[in-house]
Amino acid sequence: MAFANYKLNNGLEIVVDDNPHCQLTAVGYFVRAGAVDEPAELSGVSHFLEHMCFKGTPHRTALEINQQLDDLGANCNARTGEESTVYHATVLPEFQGAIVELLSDMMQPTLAEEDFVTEQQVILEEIAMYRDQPPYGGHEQIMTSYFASHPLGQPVLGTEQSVSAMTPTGMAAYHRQRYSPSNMVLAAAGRVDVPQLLQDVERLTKHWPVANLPPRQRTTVQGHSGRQTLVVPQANQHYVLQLSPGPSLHDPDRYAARLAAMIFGDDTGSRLFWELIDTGLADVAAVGHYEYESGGVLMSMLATRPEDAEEVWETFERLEREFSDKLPTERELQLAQAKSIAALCSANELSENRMFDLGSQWSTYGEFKSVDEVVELYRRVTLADIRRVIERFPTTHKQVLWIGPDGESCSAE
Amino acid sequence: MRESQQFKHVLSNGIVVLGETMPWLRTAAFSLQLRAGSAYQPVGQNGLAALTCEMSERGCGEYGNREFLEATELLGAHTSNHVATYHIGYSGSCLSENFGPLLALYAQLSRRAHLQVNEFEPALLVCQQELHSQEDDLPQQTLRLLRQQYFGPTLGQWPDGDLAELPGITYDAVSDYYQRHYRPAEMILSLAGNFDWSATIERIEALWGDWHGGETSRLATPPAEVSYQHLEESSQQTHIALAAPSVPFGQDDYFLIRCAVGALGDGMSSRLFQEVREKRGLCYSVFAGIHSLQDSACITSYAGTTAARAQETLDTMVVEFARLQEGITEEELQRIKTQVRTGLMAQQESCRSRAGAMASDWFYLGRVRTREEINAELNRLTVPRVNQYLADHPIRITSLVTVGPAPLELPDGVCQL
Repeated sequence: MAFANYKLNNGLEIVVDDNPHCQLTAVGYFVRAGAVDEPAELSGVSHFLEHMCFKGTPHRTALEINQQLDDLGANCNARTGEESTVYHATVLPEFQGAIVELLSDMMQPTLAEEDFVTEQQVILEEIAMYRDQPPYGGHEQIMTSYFASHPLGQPVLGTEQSVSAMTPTGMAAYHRQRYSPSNMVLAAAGRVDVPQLLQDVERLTKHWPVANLPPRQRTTVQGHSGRQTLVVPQANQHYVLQLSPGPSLHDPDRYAARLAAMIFGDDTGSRLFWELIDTGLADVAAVGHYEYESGGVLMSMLATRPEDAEEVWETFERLEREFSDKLPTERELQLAQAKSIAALCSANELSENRMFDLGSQWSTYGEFKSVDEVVELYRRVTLADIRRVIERFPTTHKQVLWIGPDGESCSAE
Repeated sequence: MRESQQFKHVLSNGIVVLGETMPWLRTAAFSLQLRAGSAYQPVGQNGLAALTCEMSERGCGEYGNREFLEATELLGAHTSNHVATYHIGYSGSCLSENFGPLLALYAQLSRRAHLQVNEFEPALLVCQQELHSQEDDLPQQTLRLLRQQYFGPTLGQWPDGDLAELPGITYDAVSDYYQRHYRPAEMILSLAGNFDWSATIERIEALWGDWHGGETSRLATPPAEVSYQHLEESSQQTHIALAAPSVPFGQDDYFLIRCAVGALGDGMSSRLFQEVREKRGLCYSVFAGIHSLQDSACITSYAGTTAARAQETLDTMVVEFARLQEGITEEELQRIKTQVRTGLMAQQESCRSRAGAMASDWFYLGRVRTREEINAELNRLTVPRVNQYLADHPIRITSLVTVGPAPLELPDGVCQL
């Protein structure tokens, strides 16, 4: 394995994890542009812009972009989150040059009025689609309630109002700022022809306008506690979403916190699993970590039949209270470590995963830890570390959202 | 770089073991397929296979329910199970050094599941929970109705079960199903990744070699009925799923129709994606693919759109189905060939997907295709051959399902004899 990093004159950083054993080449642009960067009137612009990058450039129409991606057999997609937008593709090594050229071209979209209007409809469809899937509709609501005025509370998709009101001019101004090469990282992993890559990217990006971007403000998160209900008349299941404090992306305790969350609420073998899933009481009972630059949250999700909702909730809250009394055992820690380490090693065999890992690490930390180094960090976590994170991130301060077909049965206290 | 090697070994009890070594990986994976899928359930017992599968994981051999799961987790194994039409499948992967012990655990599960009476109630609840949760997934509900409608009451059964039939399934029925269908005669065990073939075969002989029983059976498919079904839901979107008869995987013409369906609905440059989503902005999700069983298959297509635009979406889909008869282009064919080649190389990076593909090849074709063989097949595909086939075999949409606030009008030629 060979890791290397480079920086072009325009500020674009290139990171490579070249491995001749891989069969494919994965590349991705990581843009530091997400919901946290949006002014309120442009809520959803990062995600809308992600769509528009597929809709045409000075050199290609939307059809030509899609056709070429398919011609290259590219497993290509993009995703927008709270703090980043990522465009990525995985291809046969022989298509490295072509895919880098195409992705680079897409980073400078035309934003034509006609395409803009059509795509607006697609986004409104996407918002409607998520609203038909109860837990997802709730995700944005609880994020907004928990983070309140903090930028992390802005919905990634935006709202029907903000998306409908958006204009190509507003989007273009946002693009000029956030898609400055100095605000982007290009990651490549798998089988990579490095000299070719550097030469190509230099040539393809040298005309990109550079903006003077102030560094992102890291405002401390003050999570807001509370309980709310979302009525979704067509829902058959009851869902509970809960947010409580967790470590940020920069917190050294994040490995211990992930293991603690796994012991408590992994989807198999955890405390929640044995009481709620194995018994058939709940369909979903799981805890996940969302880590951001300015803070983190622990998100718990429960799904069950309406008649079991109250019992599931009570069991969940009991297990939560017990977690700080009946602290995790050596055996529980050992199981969580074995699972995490094997999952890391296994995921790392795919070029695409290596590229994601590399690009995310570099755009967040400006450094890269190999899989073996990360494995070591998990191995080193002790029960004392686990105890500390349980104390540091109490679940007593939490935002809870009940989602179900009617308001009444959702109000269990 | 050390090359991969393919192997095959048949145990005297009929278990077929397929292997492909991939020495550049750190992990190894298995896929174990037992002929116990949903199509073998007695009438009115849909859910028996899913329930048996759930019960099988709740203790076996010297392990109790909790001990079994912990044993797999201590090995760092990533495991899953899956009920399909013909099989109940178990798969797992782990670091190479733990592969032997992981296989040993699954030998116990396939042969010596405890099926404890006190585990029956929770297992039943787990199966019910799964089905309840699917009720909120309307795209899946729509495809499920289409599958039932197209493949009929045996093969079209939803493998996860039926909420109405589950409560009627008894503990004895599960125990009987396990005894009857967890048998070596038709079991497939495929292995891929970094492992030593001869040592592993020796271990497999020791684990499964003295097991006996089972019989072969092939299920006939009834002809599909022509029909339109609408399920009323107060959703924001209308979900549309339709099916047209096709050629099953394994028959000569399969790849010809596969190319045509690829041009129609696989990927962002496909005709459906371009016409329905890109040009008209009618929906977020639209695609087409082939759903193949042993002796029958259909082209299926799905779109989800806001109710007011559902009719226009359906009409556009139908136009694109009809236009396929005029043939596909050289660019479309090349694109599909590249997609298949990329998929093949992707399997070389993931032993899990390689093990799954090998088991599937064996079941449908009776052999595991090599990369060379698939590449040769790709080279034989030409535009004139595909287009001749399409001209000779017009595609007829025979099944339509919609889920949403209101039914749609049938476009000309859809669901008509």
